[in-house]
Amino acid sequence: MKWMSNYGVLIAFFLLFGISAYFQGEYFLKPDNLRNIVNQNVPVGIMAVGMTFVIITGGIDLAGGSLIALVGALGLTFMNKQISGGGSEGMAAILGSALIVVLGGLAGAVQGTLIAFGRITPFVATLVGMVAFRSMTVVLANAGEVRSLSKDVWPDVGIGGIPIPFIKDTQGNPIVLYYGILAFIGVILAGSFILNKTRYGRYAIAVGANERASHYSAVPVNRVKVLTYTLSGICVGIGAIFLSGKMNSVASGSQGMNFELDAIAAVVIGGTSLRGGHGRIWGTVIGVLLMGIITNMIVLMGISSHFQGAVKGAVILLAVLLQREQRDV
Amino acid sequence: MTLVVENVSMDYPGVRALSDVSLDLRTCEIRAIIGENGAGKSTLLKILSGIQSPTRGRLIIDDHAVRFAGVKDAEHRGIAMVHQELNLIDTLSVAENISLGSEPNQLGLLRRSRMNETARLALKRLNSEIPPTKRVGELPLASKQLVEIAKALAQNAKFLILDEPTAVLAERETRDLLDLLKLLKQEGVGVIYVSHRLDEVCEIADLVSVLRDGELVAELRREDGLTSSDLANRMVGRELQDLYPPKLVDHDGEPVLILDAVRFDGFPGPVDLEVRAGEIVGLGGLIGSGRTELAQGIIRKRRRLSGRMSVNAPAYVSEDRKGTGLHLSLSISVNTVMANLRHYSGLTLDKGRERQAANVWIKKLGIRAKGPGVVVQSLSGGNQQKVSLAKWLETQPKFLILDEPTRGVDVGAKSEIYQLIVEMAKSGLGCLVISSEMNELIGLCDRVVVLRDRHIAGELVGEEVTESNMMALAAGVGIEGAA
Amino acid sequence: MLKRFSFFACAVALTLSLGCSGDKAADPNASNPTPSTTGKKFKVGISLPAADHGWTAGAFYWAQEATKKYPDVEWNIQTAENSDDQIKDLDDMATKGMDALVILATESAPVTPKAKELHDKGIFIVNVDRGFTEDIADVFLAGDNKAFGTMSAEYIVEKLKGKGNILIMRGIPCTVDSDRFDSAMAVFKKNPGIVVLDSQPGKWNKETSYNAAQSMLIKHAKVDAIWSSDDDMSEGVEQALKEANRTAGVWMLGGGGKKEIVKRIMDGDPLYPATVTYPPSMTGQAVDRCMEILNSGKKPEKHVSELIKLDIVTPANAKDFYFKDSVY
Repeated sequence: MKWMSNYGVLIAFFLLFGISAYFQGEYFLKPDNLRNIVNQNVPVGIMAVGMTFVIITGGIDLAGGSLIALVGALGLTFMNKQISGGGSEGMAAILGSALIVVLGGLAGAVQGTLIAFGRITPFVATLVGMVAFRSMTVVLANAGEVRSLSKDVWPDVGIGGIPIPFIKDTQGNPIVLYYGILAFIGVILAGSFILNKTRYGRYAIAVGANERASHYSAVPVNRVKVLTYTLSGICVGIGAIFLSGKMNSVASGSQGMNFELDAIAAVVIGGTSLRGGHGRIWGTVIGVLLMGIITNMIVLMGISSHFQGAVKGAVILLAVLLQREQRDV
Repeated sequence: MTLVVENVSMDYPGVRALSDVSLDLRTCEIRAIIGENGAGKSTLLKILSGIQSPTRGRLIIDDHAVRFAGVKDAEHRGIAMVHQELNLIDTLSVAENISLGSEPNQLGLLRRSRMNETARLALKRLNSEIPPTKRVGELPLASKQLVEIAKALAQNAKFLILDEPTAVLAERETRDLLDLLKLLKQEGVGVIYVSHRLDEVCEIADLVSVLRDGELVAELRREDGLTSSDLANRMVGRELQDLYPPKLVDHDGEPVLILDAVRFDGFPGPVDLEVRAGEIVGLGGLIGSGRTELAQGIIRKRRRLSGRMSVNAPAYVSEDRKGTGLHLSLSISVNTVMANLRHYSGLTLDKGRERQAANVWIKKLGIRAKGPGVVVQSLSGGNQQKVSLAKWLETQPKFLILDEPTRGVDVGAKSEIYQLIVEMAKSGLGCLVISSEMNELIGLCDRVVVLRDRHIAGELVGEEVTESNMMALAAGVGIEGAA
Repeated sequence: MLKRFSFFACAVALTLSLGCSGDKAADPNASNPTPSTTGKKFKVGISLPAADHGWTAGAFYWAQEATKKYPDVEWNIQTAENSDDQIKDLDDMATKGMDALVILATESAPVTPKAKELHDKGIFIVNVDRGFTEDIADVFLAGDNKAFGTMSAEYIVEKLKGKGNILIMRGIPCTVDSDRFDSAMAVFKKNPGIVVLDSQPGKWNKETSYNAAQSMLIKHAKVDAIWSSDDDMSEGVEQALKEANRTAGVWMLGGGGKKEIVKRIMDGDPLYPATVTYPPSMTGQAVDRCMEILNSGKKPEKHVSELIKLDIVTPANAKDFYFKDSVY
């Protein structure tokens, strides 16, 4: 049973993968399809890595979906100013990306400060962020969208990448591993490293497992919390680069809508406890991929995608049931 | 009514927790069940209260074999349990707690007046004046316990199981509870009493069942004479050396704690207190007298309002292992280095060194566990306490506060912990031991400071450290010969 | 979630068809009645759905633009996330003593009773795009989603010369969506040469359409045209086409009249040969109609219903539908 609760999500993943390969292998197993599944989930996936930290500390971050739109919109506005002022697209993209990540981190730090020092529960503090950031985006874009003026560089952030010569896509060209996917892999590695190999990672687990005992053990609880939400904000920022790059625009009303819920779902499917004190990055990644495959399969199998929610719900339920801890009476 | 436990065994994966235990329980009787941690007491209690069903054997109530479907079922059949960690809801009123799960109602609407009346009657039976409308969260611990007992009685319990009820109570509250149990016995309740405090057991039990390694090893009757040392020996299965190691004589070490007219937020004081290296100073007083608050002040978890404080590398071993003491869901090694993580990590954590450190402490303190990766939750109280100790010794303190160091710890482990405390003192550590067990203070400490109402009531040195002197100071009755 | 999108309707250049008192109509810029000079001050409330995607943002923009032409009127523009909010807004407006209300309902059924109540109190009501379930508005400027479906499908059939494979991008399940889809499918069914390979919802936004289109493109190697019921969704599909290197030999037909798409049509982009307009500027139209009647002091005796005509935007006429400063 213990084994099941640890690796249940892997079984679910391979099961789903197997089913997909069996029924729709012709399309499902195509390299471009598999690549697309990952690429479509890059923003949510990167966000989910940050969310894993938040949930490990026993918190929650609802603001991500709105924040990804806000920092994206701010970044594009900045880049457009640069470009229309005669600046080069490349320079604008570099500065813009940096700005997006910094702003994401800042927004996270503000939320973390409210939570740690303002003693506002994470749910409320980030709910405020969720509502406020969305509204700020809509105001910024006058309810419409912010379109990038960049003709080549920024769109290339979305669909550029490194061609892999040995694997061919449907047209027979070498398949392109998008920058977004590379960044996602980088974030996963960095996240695992931070969680498992750094003092901060240990403290995050400790705070989630028992905040009071951590406080008594001289763990800088408040700093750990601020850092956690900052990290989550930084992840949102990185996600925003690729989301706004791919769309080369930010639709103020809808972009990133409900991403935070998908991220939370992925974290939970991945076996991180919502009670805090325990979690793993690889589980979250599996959770993200699992949900990506579901969405993909529903289209490939020609099932009405109105079923998507029901199927996702069932998978989340199954994953959580498999991993549920023995209850102490 | 009779409750017979017939040849009950309980197997967990790899462990036999209970082996062929038979008991004959009756109403109008106080039955004590004692044993070291891991002897099978909690398993037996779980079976009696319907939390678990035995692997083999059966329970017989009034000649009918029964199988409890759960806690509720057991309660319906007249068996209720008061847990060590009270199962009350702090945000509800006393009356709401007492009738929780069986609220008097009419067509689904609460009948509050009747609920309050039921609660008042139940509490009156316990000679308690706690107002039924008061919120449980506002009550002191001893009163909460009474509410829990009232809750059981309100459901017509014929058998009342109490798991370590006095572990959290101060001396006087313990007295009241013991008197109450005697009263309940006379009223026809069967009391099943589990405690580590053998003197209490000797005082009230009609019958004592001793468990060891899952087996029932002795059943002793009051008429045959009960003594703590006899009971302790039977529990441990060996002649128990004197529980307390010999005291140290020599303490002219440097002072490691100096409090000079200090007042803390929530502890008006003012306190003057000095602890020297190598000294073991006791801190006594009733629950609510401010012992924990003073300790929190010294470790700077409470604001100092005035006065001068000088303290050298302090550490605080909390009385509340589940709350402030340990990360129960994490491993021994993680807990061991938690307060000293900086020394085990440069840019990255060094888990190998963490494990090494944990292994050293496991060996040094005699922590019984399979290895440093074991989750602390799965350890017995005594071993958890040792992990907590290890965590703080790891920080190389000069001054150590031990808040109730043997709460929820069995006799064998207790003696080991006392031994450790004395050894630490020998090696030059100044110790401040907070305890509700007077024997512990008498047996362990060179000096005892007694608190009353968040002030120092007096200090007892050497021969003066006696139960009656401490009681007198704690209760506010003047004594002779004490400062 | 669904509610918020359900008002979404479609149509083209706003030509007010029947019944108006010899009105000019035509495109939104041209159709301004002369601003009131009587000095009489009205209070007029405008209640719209919240701007959660391009079209609704446009609806807000055009309403706001139109109000600027009437400086002597006290305007109150509110947007609502759902029908509950909208009912609250309407109540608040009534409390503030509005003479007239311009309403684009978030949803028909729940808002109808409130509108009826206010109308019975004597408030003049102009209803735009999405109709109430009863004829309670004084003037109703109706969008025509069925015509949207039919017109766009007929365009596709004609351009493909009755033969080809198409993919369909739907919106969020609601009457608007099914009206457009069902009437389009009716046209496709009449043409056996047209094969509808697949249809998936893109939820009227870029990201969802992009994801769904990507998977559909993996499955269907030969696609001639993609019909999506909204221009935002076309842009998401375009991204999927680009990533799959499939932009050649395929084209899209969207709807709504988003300015960026109109620009692409104007520039002769082969991906975007046309779009069907269902212009958000109909809210501006409604404001103008409202002021015209208020200023004339002659309210229509009976309920007046006017269908907004739709247009196909092609490179030939695109410049008439391109408004540089609009948000949509």
